[in-house]
Amino acid sequence: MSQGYVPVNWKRSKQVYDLCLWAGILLYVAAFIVVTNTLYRGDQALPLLTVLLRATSTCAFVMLTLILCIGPLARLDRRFLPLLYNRRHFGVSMFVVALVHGLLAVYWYHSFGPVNPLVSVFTSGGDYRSVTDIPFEVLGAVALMILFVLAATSHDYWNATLGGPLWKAIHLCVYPAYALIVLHIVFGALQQDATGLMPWMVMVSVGLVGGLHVSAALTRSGADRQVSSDESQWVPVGNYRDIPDNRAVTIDVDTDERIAVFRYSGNRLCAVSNVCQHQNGPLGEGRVIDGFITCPWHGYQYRPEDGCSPPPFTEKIRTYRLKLEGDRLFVDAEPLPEGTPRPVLEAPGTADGQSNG
Amino acid sequence: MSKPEPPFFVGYLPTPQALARFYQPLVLVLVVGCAMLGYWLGAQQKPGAPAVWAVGAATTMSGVLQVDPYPVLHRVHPEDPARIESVLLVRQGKFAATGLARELDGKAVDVTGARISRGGWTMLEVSSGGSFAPADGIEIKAITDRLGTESLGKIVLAGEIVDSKCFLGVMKPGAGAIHKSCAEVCLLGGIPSMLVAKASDDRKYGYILVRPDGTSASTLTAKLAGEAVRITGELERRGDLLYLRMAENGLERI
Repeated sequence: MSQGYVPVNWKRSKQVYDLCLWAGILLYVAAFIVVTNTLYRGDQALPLLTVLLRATSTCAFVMLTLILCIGPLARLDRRFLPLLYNRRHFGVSMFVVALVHGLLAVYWYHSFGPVNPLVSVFTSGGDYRSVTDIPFEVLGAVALMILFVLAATSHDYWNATLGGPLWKAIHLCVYPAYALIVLHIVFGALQQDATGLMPWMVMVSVGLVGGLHVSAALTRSGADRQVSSDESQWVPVGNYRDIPDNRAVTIDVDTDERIAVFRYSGNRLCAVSNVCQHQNGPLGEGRVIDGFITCPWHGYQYRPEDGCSPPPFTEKIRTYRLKLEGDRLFVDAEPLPEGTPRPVLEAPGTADGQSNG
Repeated sequence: MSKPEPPFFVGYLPTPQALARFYQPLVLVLVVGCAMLGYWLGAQQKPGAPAVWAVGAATTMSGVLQVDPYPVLHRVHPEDPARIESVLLVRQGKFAATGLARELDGKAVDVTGARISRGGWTMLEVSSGGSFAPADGIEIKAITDRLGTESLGKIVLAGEIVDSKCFLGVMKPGAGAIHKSCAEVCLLGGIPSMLVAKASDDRKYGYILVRPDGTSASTLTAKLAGEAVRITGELERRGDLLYLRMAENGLERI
């Protein structure tokens, strides 16, 4: 969390994650090279650099597709949350593979000539006046620059320095980068694809990423309780007994952020912003662990009483007031400033801790 | 009875047993799957064009040097002495060998470099220093008399403009959309420009492109590298190379 920064705060789970990730990357590239060199020898052999270019490009594209699938997959099935926990390591690894591809392309296609290789990347190979003849290398180069920014700012230091919303906005640029990479393939490799596989690779990737995002969005919007605060600032949440113990329901009150209403320790109730200060993770999908609201993405924790992270951490989220009328729970749609204490409601007669969910 | 709590993962806490049981086979499948995917995708590639770039293996050829429009070594064909073989000469990297060969133009020379070959074409890639040396024992006239310059008439050909060095074996693929930028840079460096046209027998034929005045067309055609073009011009044979002398305004993008 926010108490200090080290390059990588290694945990065993992170080490296992990275080990498996790089084992997969190296096995993929090695298998690609070995099969190519086994199948094609002599005068039909493919140059090693060409094979490496193809291996790294397809590897990076598959990785980016998987990275973009992790978010919605984790929302659809919570067992995939551990993949999301270290997604930044996946992203930086993907950038490294894409960078190798980019450097090889500059070396192989643009170097050793009369034009500066970096100038050549942006000036040769097409015509900006024609939509169908846009140089595909430029699309890839711009995507790589975006991925560099994302990799360089992926550390929590930048998250805290830039602030959650700006950091999140920057990192949402992974979607334009993905779109540019798809176009890079469509205007480049796909134009010369002798295998017939490229269109399928692109379609499967776009279908998977798009389909999972739509599916997750539909699922989550169904899970949210849509309420209106037109007539009163106190909006109904429902019967508090319907909230599973140590978990939350998420309320959408037409404001700029949703509200997570937690029930914990059997009969305690509190409401906070649904947005984690770390990476804007959905707190309402988290749990109360050891008395702290815990974000499902990276385990950032907040006190139910005031929305503050426990010392020495400094994150704060907005809090909301609650009231009970019988079993019916109401939340004040007007947020209190980040870290503001307010009374935690204690519902009568349910201190047995049994979940009703 | 309430439902069991689904496992909740927090990176800094011990991994729930249910999640560990879920991931152990999944990770194994994914890692092995990476190797299988790499193997499968690699196996889907088509073979490279049947061409060789013998980089690192120096070959010496002897003959008569002609520098314009592009450096060519004309020599007695090693396997068929009745024929003259014309070997295109290029420099290492994406540069013409013109500057290196200029002072020996029209003379008998030994040229040393890396052989590049595809089909009936031969090219020699020379290095910046020490690749050219005057040769003894070669009767220049015996070769130049057999060269001739034969006009084969007007022709219209459609095909793709490539840089001959990459197409003849340095790059695979040495043509098409992916190679377009490289071809452009090579042509800007003076590598001989070539039109590759597919004939009705599905074989590819190469024609060295020259401007209407007979000089190098490399820089003129650079921006159209990798493009489908139609060229009107006059076909000429010199040695065993076919040159397409483009007519004024005879080059159009299709």
